[in-house]
Amino acid sequence: MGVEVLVVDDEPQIRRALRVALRANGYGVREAPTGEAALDLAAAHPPDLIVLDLMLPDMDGAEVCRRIREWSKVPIIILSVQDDIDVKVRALDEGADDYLTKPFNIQELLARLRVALRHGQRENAETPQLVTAGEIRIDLARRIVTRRGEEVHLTPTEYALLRYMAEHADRVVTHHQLLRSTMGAGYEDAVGSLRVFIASLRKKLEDDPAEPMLIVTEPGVGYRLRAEG
Amino acid sequence: MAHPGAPLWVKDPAQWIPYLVVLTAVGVTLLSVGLLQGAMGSLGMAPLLYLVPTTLAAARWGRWPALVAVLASVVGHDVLFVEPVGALTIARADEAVGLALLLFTAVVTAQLADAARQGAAQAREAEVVRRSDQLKTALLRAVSHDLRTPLSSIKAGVSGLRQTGARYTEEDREELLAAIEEEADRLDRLVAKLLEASLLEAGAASPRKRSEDVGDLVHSVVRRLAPLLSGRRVDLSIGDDPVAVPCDYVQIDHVVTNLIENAARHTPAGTPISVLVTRGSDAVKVTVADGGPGIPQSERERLLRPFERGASSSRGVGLGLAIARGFVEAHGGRLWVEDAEAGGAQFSFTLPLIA
Repeated sequence: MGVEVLVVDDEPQIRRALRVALRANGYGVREAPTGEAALDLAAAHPPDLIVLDLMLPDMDGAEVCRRIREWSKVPIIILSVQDDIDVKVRALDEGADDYLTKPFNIQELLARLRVALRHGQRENAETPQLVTAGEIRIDLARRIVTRRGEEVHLTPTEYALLRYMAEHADRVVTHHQLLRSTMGAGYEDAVGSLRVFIASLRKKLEDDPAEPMLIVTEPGVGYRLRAEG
Repeated sequence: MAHPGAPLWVKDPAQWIPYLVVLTAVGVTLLSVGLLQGAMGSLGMAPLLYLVPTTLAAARWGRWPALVAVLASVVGHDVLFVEPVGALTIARADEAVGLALLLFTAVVTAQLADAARQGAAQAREAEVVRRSDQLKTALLRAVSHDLRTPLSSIKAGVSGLRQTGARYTEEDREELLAAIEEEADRLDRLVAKLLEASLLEAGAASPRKRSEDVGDLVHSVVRRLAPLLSGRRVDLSIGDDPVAVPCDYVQIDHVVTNLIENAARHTPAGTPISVLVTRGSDAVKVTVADGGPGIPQSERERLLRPFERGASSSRGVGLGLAIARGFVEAHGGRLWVEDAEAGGAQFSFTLPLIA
């Protein structure tokens, strides 16, 4: 079997649908109905990716994320219903790679899965030198950002934010992660000023800053840079 | 102290307590003033001490006890310390001013204390409203979560089936379709239950009690549930005498229905169920026992709260049991779960014989 996915959900019908769909798409599937079972299975048969429901009977998904991240960098995709926003943000802060809101489309999940797997492999190799998003090229090695070939001038903070999003292209990054990585500890709650920086970035990079296509808002959670591929 | 602000002629002896306390306090104050006068040789500022019992009485018990404190202070002071000692004569201007000041202080303090108490009462009311809003929000969230769960399975299944390019075998398709149909049924049951809950809740606050025969009621529920119970042995132990209990037929029918349905849904097919009606000295007890796997101790209390379900059976909202318990408690009874003798679970509830 090629790529092994661990599906963690207490709903047997969701597991059933995911098992059938993932196998039909060539993935190997193991299932766990609880957080404890997930941790045991992940240790016994390290998977290539974990699809994790947030509401488990014995612990919440953020806790599962935290305990898996203690020893593994395996990509984790969160499945959640709309209302779990706090747990969702905590899970992402704890190192989950992406999330999908229930009810979800299998094809969307498969697309996210491919992105997460690709990044998982890349992280093992090295960070990319060049990220392309629409007509924007971000040269991480030379710290140069161009739009339609012309250099865009960014402030140090704007560049730091863009670089962090580029390093995590196509994945959601939380407000907390962005603030911690760009402004340092103690600024994690400055979401207001983060919005200001993102707005000025969009003005410099987006065709229509009012309807951003590159730096997309993930409501209540953070942002996602839509890169190519 | 049921009505501390009420006037003196109220008959309840407990209401005299504030006045007795006030008079004692004034007596102690008069004694203190007397001692001060003896020590200093003149009254000086000593009469200011009367502010102590008057303001305390006003703050604690309101206007009337405060007025009594003022009157007792003035009369006592006049008789004991103002020439001619031993007689009540309010002749001097400074005494009149003192009296007026004491009265003024007492009334203002009483009013301030009253306003503070009202404010506190309003704050408590606002808190109650806020809590019930919080509860409603929590319920809505729970409902939306429970509705979205089967929807997620349906959507995942359908979007899987529509996917082109993947290799779904005939067996895979069959499995996805089965999941979709089962989840659609589950969604339907959920909606029916929610509707039922909202309808029943309207009448839940006040059961319309009439004398009903609980034995008959149990019989008719079992007859109605015959399709669900087919293939099982159902032991009824009700006795021949009618068991008349004051109760709301619709609500208690719902409770019995829910308990029997649960026993049928959460035990393997063919597991026997027994229903027992026993009459005690002050209450009737109805017990529904099954020979199924039973319910672990840790899950029992959780099971009776809204939107909780047993971990082993993730089917269905845990609303039914919570509503059943609500109905029984509205009748002054109790509903609980324990181990059945046969090893399964056993739900019992009581209904008091006297309304």
